[in-house]
Amino acid sequence: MSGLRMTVQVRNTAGLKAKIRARTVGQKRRILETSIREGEATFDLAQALANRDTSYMADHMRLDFTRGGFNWTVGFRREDFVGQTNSNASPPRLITEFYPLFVVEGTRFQAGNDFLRAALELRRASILGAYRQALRVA
Amino acid sequence: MSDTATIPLWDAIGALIDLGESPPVNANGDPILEQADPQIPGRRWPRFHRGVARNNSKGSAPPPGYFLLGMVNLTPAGGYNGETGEDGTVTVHCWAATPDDAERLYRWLHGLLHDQPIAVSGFGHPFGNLSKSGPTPDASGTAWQVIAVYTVDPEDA
Repeated sequence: MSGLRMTVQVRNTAGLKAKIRARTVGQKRRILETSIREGEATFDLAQALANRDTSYMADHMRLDFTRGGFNWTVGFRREDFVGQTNSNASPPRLITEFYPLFVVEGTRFQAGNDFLRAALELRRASILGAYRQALRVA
Repeated sequence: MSDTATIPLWDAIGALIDLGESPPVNANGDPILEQADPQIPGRRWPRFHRGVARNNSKGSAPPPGYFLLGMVNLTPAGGYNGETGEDGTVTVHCWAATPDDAERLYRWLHGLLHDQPIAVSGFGHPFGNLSKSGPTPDASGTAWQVIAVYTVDPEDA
């Protein structure tokens, strides 16, 4: 096989760099905005689909942004449950278990309701479309 | 807990589980699903329960060795209805006495459901795909489950 040499000549590299940098800045801003919008929408849907007895669990669902806002997670933290008092219950009661796990995964008695996965699945197409749009080169 | 409702997809999966041949056995070759109910001579525990599994006389769960059909992921439009273009997901919780038995229940279910046509009354024969998570123990550590996620492909429905 014979070799092929290609030479790309750019007269104004400073201009090219500035253009790429501007595009990257724009993309980052759009992705950040998308991340916040999609995270909040998925959180709202997960909360709407969550089981409600006293509403304590749904009320203590969290939306956390990480990596400067580019990543997000929806879920629960053990410390919001174990050792806390559910004052929505009548009478108020001490929570001894991280029970969202039982609600999502189910127990031997009760099938699980994975509303976290459901919310993500229902919004998957919308989330992917939004990020694709944010990455698009103007 | 939210109320659950019987939907055609539950019925279809339940019927397949009921009729499934060569039911799963444990490492000793003993059946995992087929267990006698000690309280009612001659009666056997059902292979699956819909949403809730309880021994009505005592309120306790049946002995491990059953499938527990779970919730359908609700869509904003009101949930799976089997129409073309609608996707739907059902979880099937495979409860057994050991992690290995729970895996065996899942493998049997996989052979029964994965990429197989399923008759959903009035809506044709969609295909579904099965994936899993687990095994994980229950709170007491005396039973284990593999969660099978059955997803109807909207392209096939």
